[in-house]
Order: sequence, then C-alpha cells, then structure tokens
Amino acid sequence: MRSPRVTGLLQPFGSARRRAQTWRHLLLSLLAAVFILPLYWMIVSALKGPSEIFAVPPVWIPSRWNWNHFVDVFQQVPFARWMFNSGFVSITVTLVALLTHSMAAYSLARLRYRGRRVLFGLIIGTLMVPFWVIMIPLYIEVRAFGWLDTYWALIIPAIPNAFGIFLLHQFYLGIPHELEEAATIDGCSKAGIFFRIVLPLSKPIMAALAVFFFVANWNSFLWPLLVTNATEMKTVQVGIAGFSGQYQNPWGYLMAANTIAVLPNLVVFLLLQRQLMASITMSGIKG
Amino acid sequence: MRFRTWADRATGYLFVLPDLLGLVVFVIAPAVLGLILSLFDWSGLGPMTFVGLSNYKTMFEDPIFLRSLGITFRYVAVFVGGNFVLAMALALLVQHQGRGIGFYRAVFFAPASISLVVVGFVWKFMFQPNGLINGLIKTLGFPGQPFLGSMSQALGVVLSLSFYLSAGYFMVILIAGLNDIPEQYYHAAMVDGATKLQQFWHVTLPLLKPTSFFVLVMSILQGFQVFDQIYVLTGGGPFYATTTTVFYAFQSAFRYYQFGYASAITVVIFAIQVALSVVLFRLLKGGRVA
Amino acid sequence: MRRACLVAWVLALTLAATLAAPAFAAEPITFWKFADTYGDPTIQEYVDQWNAAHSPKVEFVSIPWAEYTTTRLTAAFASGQGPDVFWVSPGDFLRYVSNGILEPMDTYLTASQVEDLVPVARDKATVNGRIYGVPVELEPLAVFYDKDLFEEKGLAVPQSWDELVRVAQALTTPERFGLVIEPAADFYQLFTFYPFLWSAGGDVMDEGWTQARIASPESVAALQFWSDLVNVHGVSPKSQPAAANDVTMLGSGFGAMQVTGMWAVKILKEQYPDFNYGVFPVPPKERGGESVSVTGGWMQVINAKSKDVEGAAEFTRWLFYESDFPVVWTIQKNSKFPTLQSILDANREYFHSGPMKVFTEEILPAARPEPRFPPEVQRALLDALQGTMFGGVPAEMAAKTAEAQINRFLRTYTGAR
Repeated sequence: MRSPRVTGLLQPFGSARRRAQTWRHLLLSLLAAVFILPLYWMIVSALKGPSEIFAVPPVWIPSRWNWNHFVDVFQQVPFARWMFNSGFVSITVTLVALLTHSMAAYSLARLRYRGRRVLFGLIIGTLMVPFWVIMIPLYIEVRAFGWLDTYWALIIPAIPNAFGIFLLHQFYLGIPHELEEAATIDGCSKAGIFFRIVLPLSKPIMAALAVFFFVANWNSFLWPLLVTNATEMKTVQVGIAGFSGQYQNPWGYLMAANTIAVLPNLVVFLLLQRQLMASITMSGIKG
Repeated sequence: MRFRTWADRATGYLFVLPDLLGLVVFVIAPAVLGLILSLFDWSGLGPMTFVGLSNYKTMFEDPIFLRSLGITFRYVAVFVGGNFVLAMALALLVQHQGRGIGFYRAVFFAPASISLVVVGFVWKFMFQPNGLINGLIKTLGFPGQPFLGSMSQALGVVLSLSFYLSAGYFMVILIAGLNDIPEQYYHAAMVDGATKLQQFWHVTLPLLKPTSFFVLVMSILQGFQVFDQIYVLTGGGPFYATTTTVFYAFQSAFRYYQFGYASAITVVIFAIQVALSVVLFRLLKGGRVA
Repeated sequence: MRRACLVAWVLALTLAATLAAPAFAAEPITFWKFADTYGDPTIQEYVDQWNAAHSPKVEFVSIPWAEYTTTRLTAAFASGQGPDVFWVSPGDFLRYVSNGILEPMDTYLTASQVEDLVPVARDKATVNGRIYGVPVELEPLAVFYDKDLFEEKGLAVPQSWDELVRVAQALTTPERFGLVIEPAADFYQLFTFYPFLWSAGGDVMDEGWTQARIASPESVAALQFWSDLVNVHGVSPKSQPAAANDVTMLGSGFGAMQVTGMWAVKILKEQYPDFNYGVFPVPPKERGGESVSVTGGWMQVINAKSKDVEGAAEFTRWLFYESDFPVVWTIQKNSKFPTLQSILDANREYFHSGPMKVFTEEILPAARPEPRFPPEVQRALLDALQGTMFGGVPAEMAAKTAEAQINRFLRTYTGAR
C-alpha cells in the first residue's frame, strides 16, 4: 500500500539514475572497507600465530589458520557463563528501560503539569556528570544494599538513564497534535493515548534505542568490574579485560574472545535495523 | 471532566516517577556528594580535610588545567561539527531499504559495537610510526609523520577515532528521525518542483529539528566528557597535548589521588555544560518544530 | 507469541536468581592482584593448595591490569572495605603505610626469615625499621639488543652514552629504530628513566627527602639525553606500535635495542625462541663511570583492618617461605629474581648462566630499588621528562619547575619516607 520512497537526497531519479546508483554503491563500498577494518583485523588476528600478530609489515592473510584461540576461550575460562550474564543483564535492562524511559519522555514532552520543566532540566543535567565522578559513592551505596556480586548491582543502577528519556522526548515533540486531539475526543485518557497511540508510533526510535541499550550494556565495563568479584558473576567484557597482562597481552586469544563477544551486538542490530524503517504512515492526516 | 484533568496530571507525575527515582538514587545523590567533596582535601585513603574553596583557587593557578580548557573547547568544536556532517551523510546514504543496504548499515554501526580495546588497537596500528597511514604517506613521496608522538597531531588522531566511533551511532538516530518525516511533505515539495537539495533544505532539515537538536546536544556533552579514546590512544600525552579537562580530572583522582581537586574540576566542567545547554535550549527552543 | 516470550523471560529470571545466590559458608580471606594471563593460573594453583590443607580459605581475585591500582583498589579502600591480602606497587606502597592500612609483616616472620631477604628487597619493604610486606620478585632493567645485527655491523657493546648513540645511529633505518625507549606519559616511563638519571650521577631528591636534586647539572643531562634520543638523533620512536607488547618490539624488528626489564627473557624464550639477543647494563654517561640499574617488582601486603589479620599473614608466610611458590614464580613461570637469598643460592647454576649471567653478575649488584616516591613527586618528574621530550621545554627549565614543585611538596609532606 505504501507509495514508493523517493525522498533521499543521494538517490536521484530519471535518466541519470542508474549511473548515480553505481557511484553511490562505489562510495558505499569504499566507506564500508574503512569501517569494516577493525572487524576484519580482529578476526584475522584471532586466527594468526603469535609471530604474525606483531609482524612488520603487517600480515593481512595468515599463512596458517589457527583456530586454537577460539577453542581456548571456551575451555580455559567460563566464557559461556560470562556470555549468559551479559545477555541476561543487557536484555533485562533494555526491556525495563524502554518502558520507563518512554513513559517518562511522554510525560515530559506531552503532558502539562507543574514542575515539568524543572524535572526535565534535572534529568538532562544527569547527562553532564561523567560516570567515574559518581562511581565511588555509587559503589558505597550498592555495597550498603548488599548487592555486590549479584545481578541487582549489574541491572538496577543501569536502568535510569537520561539519554533514552531525552531521545524519546525529542521524538514525542514531533508527533502531530491532531492524533492526540482525535483520541481525546474519543474519550481516551492520557495513559490510554500513550499506550494505544504514541507507543506504537515510536517503533523506529524504540528499535534504535533497544540497539543502543543492548550494546551499551553488553559492552559495559567499569561498573561491572567494580561490583563483581566471583568468576561466575563476571560479564563478558570484564572477563576479557582479565586476559591482558602487565607484561604482555595474548592478542590472539584476546581477539578471539572479542570476536565472539561482538556477535550478539551485530545480531541484535541486524534483527532490529528493519524496525528502524517502519516510519509513521500518517494516513488521514493532512501534511 | 474534573476527574479526568486530575487523573491526567497524576499520570504525568507517575510516568516520570520510576526513572526519576532511579536517577536521584543512582546519579543525583552521588553527584551531590561529589560537589561536597570539592570543598575537601581527600586522598581516598585517610580522613577528609575541609579546605573551603581552595581547590577552586588552585585550579585557576594550575597551568595544566587552564591549557586543558583550551584543548577541550577545540576538541568539542571540531567534534560537534564533524560528527553531525558525517552522521548525516551516512544516514542519507543508507536511509532507504535496498539491496545490501542492511549490510552497509551494520558495517557503519560496527565500530560503535566492538570493544574499544579492539578499535583502539586498529587505530594505533594505523597511526603507528611504521603503520598503514605512514606507509601510504611515504609511498606518495612525503615524509613520515609522528602522529601520536606529536604535540600538534595527537589530538587530531584522537578526533579521527571519535568520528569513527560516533558517525555510525548517530547515523542510526538520524535514520530513525528521517523516517519519521511524513512522506506527504516530500510529495508536496516534488509537486512544487523542488530539487533534491531544495527538499533537503526546506523539508528534511526543518522537520528533523528535534532529532538534530538531540544529536547536537548529545555530541556537545560527549565531547566535553570524552575519555575512552584518549585513555586508549594517548593517555593524555604527549606532554598533556590530549589532556582534556575531564581527562585531567580523572588523572587527578585516580592517578594522583586528589579527589577533592578532581571534584572541583568536574564541578566547573559541569557548569560549562549546563550553561551551553541552557543557551542551546533557548536559542533552538528545545528543538521544537516551530 | 508475545506471552510465550514473557514466560520464557520469567523463567530465565528465576534461574538467574538461583544462580546468583552466593554459596559461601565461612568468610574467606580475599586476595587481590592485577590480572596476568600467564601468571594467574600459577597463583590459583597455590591458593588451591593452601585451601586444600589450611583454613581460613583464600579467595583469589584477579583484576584487569589497567583498573587494578587506579579504580578498583581505590574504590574498595575509599568505601572502607579493601581486600585482606593484595599486591602493591612501589609507587603506592607509602600511601598505604602512611594511612595505617598495612600490617607490619615482621611480626609474623622469624629473624632468620627476615634475614633471608636480599638487601635490595628488604629496603623496598622497610619503613622506619618495620617491614610492611613481602617483596614478590626483583626485576632489574637493562638494554636488550639484537646480537645478529650487532655482528653484521661489527658493533661492540656501548660503554658510554655517546657510544650508545653511535651504535643506535648505525642500526637505525627507515623501518627500524636503533634504541627503543618508553615514550608514553606513564609511571612506567619513569621506571625506565631512573637508570639513566642515576648513571649520570643525578637524582630526584636527596636521601633524606629534604631537598630536590632534579635541577642538578647531572639530572638535567639525563633529561636532555632522552630528549635528544627522540628529537636530535632520531634513534628512538616518539610513539609505539599498537601491539607493543614490551620486548616484542625487539623481536619483531621494530627496534634493534630496547630498554626493558628482566621479565623479557621469558617472553623472548616463548615468543621468539630462535631470536639471537644479548643484554648489557645501561651504560654510564662517560666511559668508565658507574652504571646503575633499577629494580622493580611487586609486594604482597596485608590489610591491617582485615577481619583475620592473623590468617592473612599466615597465608602470606606460607606462600613465600613454606611453599615452593617463589621458585616456581621467579624461575619456572617467569624470568625474575627471587627476593630470598636462600633461593638464589640454591639455584646458582641457573642464575650464573645464559642471559641470567649478566643480570646476576653485573646488573643486580648495581641496582637500586624502584623509588617509592609519592604521586606528587612522580608527577613533577614525569612533567619534566615529557616537557623536555615533547613539549619543546628546555631541559633546564623543565627541571627547575620540577625542583620547585618537589620542594614545595616536601615542605608539607608528613607521611612516611
């Protein structure tokens, strides 16, 4: 039912279309080569022997494929358990945060009540405090709660985050008022409007946020490091960081672990990136 | 009707409550402690000594702090501008569904999803004395450059890594924003005979204002708080050339164990961020589409 | 579909909650150390050995290298709950002593056990006549070099700074640096700089810590020399390659000589078994002068506020005096000097042959312990070195600034010396 999309700046139409398309793909491929370099280097380094990792000039294709590092990662450390911990924490935080952030953002962007602006300012203000500034007091708090070495410490403090509230707030600003007015006339409460109209409309941005939250929590390092002691409570990034030493880094092993650790991020992105495209179809609303 | 108004107002408060509570407990309260700490002298081990405003006084006599402010502003200015242009270019290139576009999107987002240890490794590898970039430069007949070992070039290398990490990230936000613009507007513009460029200026940019505002504010705040890239690439060196104010505060706290002084520096950098954000909110009306 | 997802998630939550429940019966002694992929399994082995036969049990926690002293120990002690036993670096040692955090170790050692510590190790651990911990190892610094290259160019081991520069110049090519020194602004850079400072006859401050000495002509000469290596002679790199794993810079051909520590012997043996290398002491400034090295190494210390100080001390004494951990750690798993004379004597042959020979006979006798300077002093020194090497600050001016900073600090410093 959708009309063909013709809105891109760099997607021309007409007779020159095909040639422009070729140029566009050439540009994309060139950019992709640059952006894929870390991925490529990571995987290839994981497959090299030690002498090739440090070789000058660099070795682009290993002379012998060495799969040992991947086996070692799972045999020498409880890597699967770390993956589970990271996955469990990331998914839980993402799901809860999407709900609470979208509620808060809707309230701040679309509802009118006393103190709204002050609250918004306060929340945005929390974005201006670097994490390590609050790290020690936060650590003392969490220890007092008895949360050290538990999932609580990994999950609960990670949920409140002004980034998501701010981003959703900006999106809710853009939703046409006509939608809400129509619903109000139909007898919908503000909460009803949120759950029945606004939430379904914010699918693309929620998908983007879900990716960000998942990746951020999956890659989270400093906080999980502080609050976990037990090997079985470590997250993937904390576990991997334990590989690098004072005198030498086992790069092959490190790169193999990182290769495995990046997969969930990419899978989540590929799964959700389609949702990014679900745009608001404003049928019935005048442009 | 009266009940409805009351209930709607309660909805407002109730909807903010969960996150607000979390932020108060896990961010705001610890941050207030940080503010108080800036009036003390504390090494992290012994007792705290109240010193009044002396940490703030020290700061404005500390040449490294003053220099770090200049470095920070230079970094933020270049980062904010460059990041917006790059992220927008990427977003426009891969905005629409098409063959292989999903792959490109994933690839552009990849640097933001890989551990910084790996990306930092590759970046150092490219800019090292006998690295790829120097190899390229020498092949073209120019002399090799010291990059990370140079007072004038190191910040540029840090910036390039920041762009690399952020472009794909903000691209995702901009794609979501672009796709939120109702197609009807473009149809109308095309009927009026607008060129692609005109459409971009008169439809895309104005309607993207809330998202652009977000990208702008977030990249300013990220710029002020840049840390990981410096930590991985230069450690703030050579000779403080890449020591931004926040990085300096971190070093003061966790390398030199001057927690009071570090807190004072962060209070100043916090104030600067607040001031800039307030000005932006006023100027751009919070990114509302006028 | 959606409901099924939810049910699955609730199940996962319950599972996770059960997994998370801590299963410790009695409270074990916590033992913290920075992570080291190659060393940690050995330590875990000995912890297991202890746990099998003794109580209280010990829980070994290894913490990523970059976060160990910076954030992890700091946050723990700031919140009033540090580990019972941990490893501390020379630069941090005095802070802990001054704040009454370390339990004197000599209470738990016999006179002969104290006597067995080699003098340079005992000095490291002694404050006001008390010993606060057991030095784990000694790691003196030296210059490693590519023997084949030396032979190919007909070069001899340099005996002075001028000769060092000449040799480095002869070995420098567009693809290779003659002499790799540490360029990064880190405390490790200071560690590698001390031998040059001392071999020139300079120092940071006088012995009693009353007066800075960093602006003396000898000290300034050392600063100038490091700057010249990078800026004038162009034989040393301004930054290091990405995979700069210490001595791999030598093994991979990035450098022809490298200033590094004794630990590199083991790394070379494992990663470059065919590499033909030699070791010589950091040369004195003038031919015939005195060459001085520095020896680093960590110290195992006990938290005086631990709930079980006695148990922590007992474990420490067992590890270093009753088990064979020191031998396995220094000789088999790493290439380091043990801190006990009895072990040195029992392994005479090993320490007087191969690459160990020069370390034992020439370098260790002339090595001073890594200084325990407080962070303020290290910062002044680091600023002087970085300013001279990279900031274009004349060595004399950089040294004068550092001298003023150190003197100002010493006037108000009340902690242990």
